[in-house]
Amino acid sequence: MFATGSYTPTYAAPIKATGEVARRQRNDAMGQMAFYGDNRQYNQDTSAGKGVAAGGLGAQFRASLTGDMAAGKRATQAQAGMLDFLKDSAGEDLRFGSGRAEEANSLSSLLLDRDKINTDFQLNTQKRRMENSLAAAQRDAEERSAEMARKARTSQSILGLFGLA
Amino acid sequence: MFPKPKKFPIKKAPPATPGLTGNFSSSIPTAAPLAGSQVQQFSTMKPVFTAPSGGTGAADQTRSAFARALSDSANTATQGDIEGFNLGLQRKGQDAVARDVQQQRQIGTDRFGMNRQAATMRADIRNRRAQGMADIATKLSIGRKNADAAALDNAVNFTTGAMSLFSPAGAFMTGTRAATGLLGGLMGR
Repeated sequence: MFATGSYTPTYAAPIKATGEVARRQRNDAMGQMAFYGDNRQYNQDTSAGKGVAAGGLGAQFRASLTGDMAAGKRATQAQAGMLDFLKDSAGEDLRFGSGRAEEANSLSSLLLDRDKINTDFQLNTQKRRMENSLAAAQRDAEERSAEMARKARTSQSILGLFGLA
Repeated sequence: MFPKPKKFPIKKAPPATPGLTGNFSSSIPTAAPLAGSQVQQFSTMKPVFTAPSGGTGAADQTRSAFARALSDSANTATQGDIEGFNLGLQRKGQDAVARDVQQQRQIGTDRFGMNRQAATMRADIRNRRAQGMADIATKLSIGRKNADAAALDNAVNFTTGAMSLFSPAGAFMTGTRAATGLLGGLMGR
Protein backbone atom coordinates (compact mmCIF):
# COMPACT_ATOMS: atom_id res chain seq x y z
CA MET A 1 0.00 0.00 0.00
CA PHE A 2 2.79 2.44 0.83
CA ALA A 3 6.02 3.00 -1.10
CA THR A 4 8.57 2.36 1.64
CA GLY A 5 11.49 1.16 -0.50
CA SER A 6 12.39 4.43 -2.20
CA TYR A 7 12.34 8.19 -1.83
CA THR A 8 8.78 8.31 -3.15
CA PRO A 9 6.30 9.95 -0.75
CA THR A 10 4.21 7.41 1.12
CA TYR A 11 1.13 9.60 1.13
CA ALA A 12 -0.90 8.15 -1.72
CA ALA A 13 -4.37 9.64 -1.50
CA PRO A 14 -6.71 11.22 1.06
CA ILE A 15 -8.56 8.62 3.09
CA LYS A 16 -12.25 9.45 3.09
CA ALA A 17 -15.48 7.77 4.06
CA THR A 18 -17.57 6.63 1.15
CA GLY A 19 -20.54 8.65 2.38
CA GLU A 20 -22.82 5.64 2.42
CA VAL A 21 -23.43 5.89 6.15
CA ALA A 22 -24.04 9.63 5.90
CA ARG A 23 -26.56 9.09 3.12
CA ARG A 24 -28.38 6.43 5.11
CA GLN A 25 -28.55 8.67 8.15
CA ARG A 26 -29.82 11.45 5.96
CA ASN A 27 -32.50 9.20 4.51
CA ASP A 28 -33.50 8.07 8.01
CA ALA A 29 -33.72 11.65 9.20
CA MET A 30 -35.77 12.61 6.15
CA GLY A 31 -38.10 9.69 6.81
CA GLN A 32 -38.58 10.76 10.42
CA MET A 33 -39.18 14.30 9.28
CA ALA A 34 -41.90 13.08 6.95
CA PHE A 35 -43.42 11.06 9.74
CA TYR A 36 -43.45 13.89 12.28
CA GLY A 37 -44.59 16.35 9.68
CA ASP A 38 -47.48 14.33 8.47
CA ASN A 39 -50.58 16.41 9.06
CA ARG A 40 -52.82 13.41 9.34
CA GLN A 41 -51.57 12.78 12.83
CA TYR A 42 -52.93 16.03 14.12
CA ASN A 43 -56.12 16.51 12.09
CA GLN A 44 -59.24 15.10 13.59
CA ASP A 45 -60.10 11.90 11.86
CA THR A 46 -63.76 11.34 12.71
CA SER A 47 -63.91 8.17 10.72
CA ALA A 48 -61.59 6.47 13.19
CA GLY A 49 -63.75 7.22 16.16
CA LYS A 50 -63.88 9.68 19.01
CA GLY A 51 -60.86 8.20 20.75
CA VAL A 52 -58.48 9.31 18.02
CA ALA A 53 -60.16 12.63 17.55
CA ALA A 54 -60.05 13.51 21.20
CA GLY A 55 -59.25 17.10 22.09
CA GLY A 56 -60.24 20.41 20.69
CA LEU A 57 -58.85 22.60 17.98
CA GLY A 58 -56.42 24.19 20.41
CA ALA A 59 -54.93 20.82 21.24
CA GLN A 60 -54.78 20.02 17.56
CA PHE A 61 -52.92 23.28 16.87
CA ARG A 62 -50.42 22.71 19.65
CA ALA A 63 -49.85 19.17 18.47
CA SER A 64 -49.25 20.45 14.97
CA LEU A 65 -46.61 22.90 16.16
CA THR A 66 -44.94 20.20 18.17
CA GLY A 67 -44.96 17.99 15.12
CA ASP A 68 -43.54 20.77 12.95
CA MET A 69 -40.78 21.36 15.45
CA ALA A 70 -39.94 17.69 15.52
CA ALA A 71 -39.99 17.53 11.74
CA GLY A 72 -37.77 20.59 11.49
CA LYS A 73 -35.34 19.03 13.94
CA ARG A 74 -35.06 15.93 11.77
CA ALA A 75 -34.67 18.06 8.65
CA THR A 76 -31.81 19.90 10.30
CA GLN A 77 -30.29 16.59 11.34
CA ALA A 78 -30.50 15.41 7.74
CA GLN A 79 -28.67 18.53 6.55
CA ALA A 80 -26.12 18.45 9.33
CA GLY A 81 -25.27 14.79 8.78
CA MET A 82 -24.34 15.30 5.16
CA LEU A 83 -22.63 18.57 5.99
CA ASP A 84 -20.46 16.81 8.55
CA PHE A 85 -19.53 14.26 5.93
CA LEU A 86 -18.49 17.00 3.50
CA LYS A 87 -16.56 18.78 6.24
CA ASP A 88 -14.66 15.62 7.07
CA SER A 89 -13.84 15.15 3.41
CA ALA A 90 -12.62 18.73 3.05
CA GLY A 91 -10.61 18.46 6.25
CA GLU A 92 -9.05 15.27 5.00
CA ASP A 93 -8.03 17.01 1.78
CA LEU A 94 -6.17 19.63 3.80
CA ARG A 95 -4.66 17.02 6.15
CA PHE A 96 -3.51 14.97 3.20
CA GLY A 97 -2.12 17.97 1.33
CA SER A 98 -0.24 19.19 4.40
CA GLY A 99 1.08 15.75 5.24
CA ARG A 100 2.20 15.06 1.73
CA ALA A 101 3.91 18.45 1.42
CA GLU A 102 5.62 17.89 4.77
CA GLU A 103 6.82 14.49 3.69
CA ALA A 104 7.93 15.74 0.28
CA ASN A 105 9.98 18.50 1.92
CA SER A 106 11.51 16.02 4.35
CA LEU A 107 12.43 13.82 1.42
CA SER A 108 13.92 16.80 -0.40
CA SER A 109 16.00 17.53 2.68
CA LEU A 110 17.14 13.92 2.80
CA LEU A 111 18.03 13.98 -0.89
CA LEU A 112 19.97 17.19 -0.30
CA ASP A 113 21.92 15.46 2.47
CA ARG A 114 22.59 12.55 0.14
CA ASP A 115 23.78 14.88 -2.61
CA LYS A 116 26.02 16.71 -0.14
CA ILE A 117 27.62 13.43 0.90
CA ASN A 118 28.12 12.38 -2.72
CA THR A 119 29.47 15.80 -3.73
CA ASP A 120 31.94 15.89 -0.84
CA PHE A 121 33.08 12.40 -1.68
CA GLN A 122 33.45 13.21 -5.36
CA LEU A 123 35.37 16.42 -4.75
CA ASN A 124 37.70 14.85 -2.20
CA THR A 125 38.38 12.00 -4.59
CA GLN A 126 39.04 14.46 -7.39
CA LYS A 127 41.41 16.40 -5.17
CA ARG A 128 43.36 13.27 -4.24
CA ARG A 129 43.58 12.20 -7.88
CA MET A 130 44.85 15.65 -8.81
CA GLU A 131 47.49 15.51 -6.09
CA ASN A 132 48.54 12.06 -7.19
CA SER A 133 48.73 13.22 -10.79
CA LEU A 134 50.82 16.23 -9.84
CA ALA A 135 53.17 14.12 -7.77
CA ALA A 136 53.61 11.69 -10.67
CA ALA A 137 54.31 14.57 -13.03
CA GLN A 138 56.79 15.99 -10.52
CA ARG A 139 58.64 12.69 -10.32
CA ASP A 140 58.65 12.34 -14.09
CA ALA A 141 60.02 15.85 -14.55
CA GLU A 142 62.77 15.28 -11.97
CA GLU A 143 63.67 12.04 -13.66
CA ARG A 144 63.92 13.70 -17.06
CA SER A 145 65.97 16.61 -15.73
CA ALA A 146 68.35 14.22 -14.05
CA GLU A 147 68.63 12.20 -17.26
CA MET A 148 69.49 15.27 -19.30
CA ALA A 149 72.08 16.33 -16.73
CA ARG A 150 73.60 12.85 -16.76
CA LYS A 151 73.91 12.87 -20.55
CA ALA A 152 75.64 16.25 -20.49
CA ARG A 153 78.06 15.09 -17.81
CA THR A 154 78.81 11.90 -19.75
CA SER A 155 79.64 13.85 -22.91
CA GLN A 156 81.85 16.15 -20.91
CA SER A 157 83.66 13.19 -19.35
CA ILE A 158 84.31 11.60 -22.75
CA LEU A 159 85.74 14.84 -24.11
CA GLY A 160 87.78 15.27 -20.98
CA LEU A 161 89.25 11.82 -21.47
CA PHE A 162 90.79 13.04 -24.68
CA GLY A 163 91.75 16.36 -23.23
CA LEU A 164 89.14 18.24 -25.15
CA ALA A 165 86.90 19.39 -22.31
CA MET B 1 67.52 16.75 -28.47
CA PHE B 2 65.52 15.65 -25.45
CA PRO B 3 61.91 14.41 -25.46
CA LYS B 4 59.34 16.96 -24.54
CA PRO B 5 57.70 16.58 -21.13
CA LYS B 6 54.51 14.59 -20.93
CA LYS B 7 51.36 16.70 -21.05
CA PHE B 8 48.73 16.57 -18.34
CA PRO B 9 45.64 18.17 -19.82
CA ILE B 10 43.46 20.20 -17.48
CA LYS B 11 39.78 19.47 -17.78
CA LYS B 12 37.40 22.22 -18.75
CA ALA B 13 35.44 24.01 -16.10
CA PRO B 14 32.05 22.48 -15.27
CA PRO B 15 28.92 24.35 -16.32
CA ALA B 16 27.88 27.31 -14.23
CA THR B 17 26.21 26.58 -10.93
CA PRO B 18 22.44 26.78 -11.27
CA GLY B 19 21.11 29.67 -9.28
CA LEU B 20 18.24 29.85 -6.84
CA THR B 21 15.26 29.91 -9.18
CA GLY B 22 12.54 30.79 -6.72
CA ASN B 23 9.77 28.90 -8.49
CA PHE B 24 8.15 27.59 -5.36
CA SER B 25 4.61 26.31 -5.27
CA SER B 26 2.39 24.31 -2.99
CA SER B 27 -0.32 21.82 -3.81
CA ILE B 28 -2.12 22.32 -0.51
CA PRO B 29 -5.73 23.41 -1.16
CA THR B 30 -6.63 26.88 0.06
CA ALA B 31 -9.95 27.45 -1.70
CA ALA B 32 -13.22 27.41 0.26
CA PRO B 33 -13.97 23.69 0.51
CA LEU B 34 -17.74 24.06 0.69
CA ALA B 35 -19.03 26.39 -1.97
CA GLY B 36 -21.57 26.83 -4.70
CA SER B 37 -24.12 24.08 -5.08
CA GLN B 38 -23.12 22.41 -1.81
CA VAL B 39 -23.86 25.51 0.22
CA GLN B 40 -27.10 25.97 -1.68
CA GLN B 41 -28.07 22.37 -1.08
CA PHE B 42 -27.46 22.33 2.66
CA SER B 43 -28.63 25.81 3.56
CA THR B 44 -32.04 25.86 1.90
CA MET B 45 -34.26 23.80 4.13
CA LYS B 46 -37.86 24.20 3.04
CA PRO B 47 -40.52 25.01 5.69
CA VAL B 48 -41.92 21.80 7.07
CA PHE B 49 -45.45 23.21 6.84
CA THR B 50 -47.06 25.44 4.30
CA ALA B 51 -50.62 26.60 4.61
CA PRO B 52 -52.79 24.66 2.19
CA SER B 53 -54.30 26.46 -0.71
CA GLY B 54 -57.26 28.44 0.56
CA GLY B 55 -56.20 27.94 4.15
CA THR B 56 -56.55 31.50 5.33
CA GLY B 57 -57.37 30.66 8.93
CA ALA B 58 -55.39 32.10 11.77
CA ALA B 59 -54.21 28.67 12.83
CA ASP B 60 -52.82 27.80 9.41
CA GLN B 61 -51.18 31.21 9.06
CA THR B 62 -49.61 31.00 12.49
CA ARG B 63 -48.38 27.51 11.94
CA SER B 64 -47.01 28.46 8.53
CA ALA B 65 -45.17 31.43 10.01
CA PHE B 66 -43.72 29.23 12.73
CA ALA B 67 -42.48 26.75 10.13
CA ARG B 68 -40.91 29.53 8.06
CA ALA B 69 -39.18 30.94 11.10
CA LEU B 70 -37.92 27.49 11.92
CA SER B 71 -36.47 26.90 8.45
CA ASP B 72 -35.02 30.41 8.27
CA SER B 73 -33.27 29.95 11.60
CA ALA B 74 -31.96 26.56 10.56
CA ASN B 75 -30.73 27.87 7.22
CA THR B 76 -29.01 30.86 8.79
CA ALA B 77 -27.35 28.63 11.35
CA THR B 78 -26.22 26.26 8.62
CA GLN B 79 -24.86 29.07 6.48
CA GLY B 80 -22.98 30.45 9.45
CA ASP B 81 -21.62 27.01 10.17
CA ILE B 82 -20.46 26.57 6.57
CA GLU B 83 -18.88 30.02 6.50
CA GLY B 84 -17.06 29.45 9.76
CA PHE B 85 -15.85 26.09 8.59
CA ASN B 86 -14.67 27.48 5.27
CA LEU B 87 -12.81 30.35 6.89
CA GLY B 88 -11.20 28.10 9.49
CA LEU B 89 -10.04 25.64 6.89
CA GLN B 90 -8.77 28.37 4.60
CA ARG B 91 -6.74 29.83 7.47
CA LYS B 92 -5.25 26.45 8.20
CA GLY B 93 -4.57 25.96 4.51
CA GLN B 94 -2.82 29.31 4.30
CA ASP B 95 -0.64 28.43 7.28
CA ALA B 96 0.20 25.07 5.74
CA VAL B 97 1.08 26.64 2.39
CA ALA B 98 3.34 29.19 4.10
CA ARG B 99 5.15 26.43 5.99
CA ASP B 100 5.43 24.34 2.85
CA VAL B 101 6.86 27.13 0.71
CA GLN B 102 9.20 28.22 3.49
CA GLN B 103 10.60 24.72 3.77
CA GLN B 104 11.07 24.63 0.03
CA ARG B 105 12.89 27.95 0.17
CA GLN B 106 15.14 26.66 2.94
CA ILE B 107 15.99 23.49 1.08
CA GLY B 108 16.54 25.41 -2.15
CA THR B 109 18.88 27.82 -0.41
CA ASP B 110 20.82 24.98 1.18
CA ARG B 111 21.18 23.28 -2.17
CA PHE B 112 22.27 26.55 -3.73
CA GLY B 113 24.93 26.87 -1.04
CA MET B 114 26.08 23.33 -1.61
CA ASN B 115 26.45 23.93 -5.34
CA ARG B 116 28.34 27.15 -4.74
CA GLN B 117 30.70 25.46 -2.30
CA ALA B 118 31.27 22.61 -4.73
CA ALA B 119 31.97 25.04 -7.57
CA THR B 120 34.49 26.90 -5.40
CA MET B 121 36.25 23.68 -4.46
CA ARG B 122 36.38 22.58 -8.10
CA ALA B 123 37.90 25.92 -9.04
CA ASP B 124 40.49 25.46 -6.27
CA ILE B 125 41.36 22.02 -7.58
CA ARG B 126 41.74 23.30 -11.13
CA ASN B 127 43.83 26.23 -9.95
CA ARG B 128 46.07 24.04 -7.82
CA ARG B 129 46.55 21.66 -10.71
CA ALA B 130 47.37 24.43 -13.18
CA GLN B 131 49.86 26.01 -10.77
CA GLY B 132 51.52 22.67 -10.10
CA MET B 133 51.80 21.88 -13.79
CA ALA B 134 53.28 25.30 -14.48
CA ASP B 135 55.88 24.77 -11.73
CA ILE B 136 56.81 21.39 -13.14
CA ALA B 137 57.05 22.71 -16.69
CA THR B 138 59.35 25.52 -15.51
CA LYS B 139 61.64 23.14 -13.68
CA LEU B 140 61.81 20.86 -16.68
CA SER B 141 62.51 23.76 -19.00
CA ILE B 142 65.36 24.96 -16.79
CA GLY B 143 66.83 21.46 -16.72
CA ARG B 144 66.63 21.16 -20.50
CA LYS B 145 68.21 24.55 -21.07
CA ASN B 146 71.05 23.71 -18.70
CA ALA B 147 71.61 20.45 -20.52
CA ASP B 148 71.54 22.20 -23.90
CA ALA B 149 74.04 24.75 -22.65
CA ALA B 150 76.34 22.01 -21.41
CA ALA B 151 76.08 20.20 -24.74
CA LEU B 152 76.98 23.39 -26.60
CA ASP B 153 79.89 23.92 -24.27
CA ASN B 154 81.11 20.42 -24.99
CA ALA B 155 80.84 20.97 -28.74
CA VAL B 156 82.89 24.16 -28.54
CA ASN B 157 85.53 22.47 -26.44
CA PHE B 158 85.64 19.58 -28.86
CA THR B 159 86.18 21.87 -31.83
CA THR B 160 88.84 24.05 -30.27
CA GLY B 161 90.52 21.05 -28.71
CA ALA B 162 90.65 19.17 -31.99
CA MET B 163 92.16 22.12 -33.77
CA SER B 164 94.91 22.48 -31.19
CA LEU B 165 95.53 18.74 -31.20
CA PHE B 166 97.27 18.94 -34.55
CA SER B 167 99.82 21.50 -33.41
CA PRO B 168 103.10 20.32 -31.76
CA ALA B 169 102.40 22.23 -28.59
CA GLY B 170 98.91 20.84 -28.50
CA ALA B 171 100.19 17.31 -28.93
CA PHE B 172 102.64 17.89 -26.11
CA MET B 173 99.91 19.25 -23.87
CA THR B 174 97.65 16.39 -24.75
CA GLY B 175 100.33 13.87 -23.94
CA THR B 176 101.06 15.64 -20.70
CA ARG B 177 97.44 15.68 -19.71
CA ALA B 178 97.01 12.04 -20.59
CA ALA B 179 100.08 11.11 -18.62
CA THR B 180 98.93 13.19 -15.66
CA GLY B 181 95.51 11.62 -15.84
CA LEU B 182 96.93 8.17 -16.04
CA LEU B 183 99.26 8.79 -13.14
CA GLY B 184 96.46 10.23 -11.09
CA GLY B 185 94.32 7.22 -11.89
CA LEU B 186 97.03 4.81 -10.86
CA MET B 187 97.53 6.67 -7.59
CA GLY B 188 93.85 6.32 -6.84
CA ARG B 189 93.04 9.90 -7.07
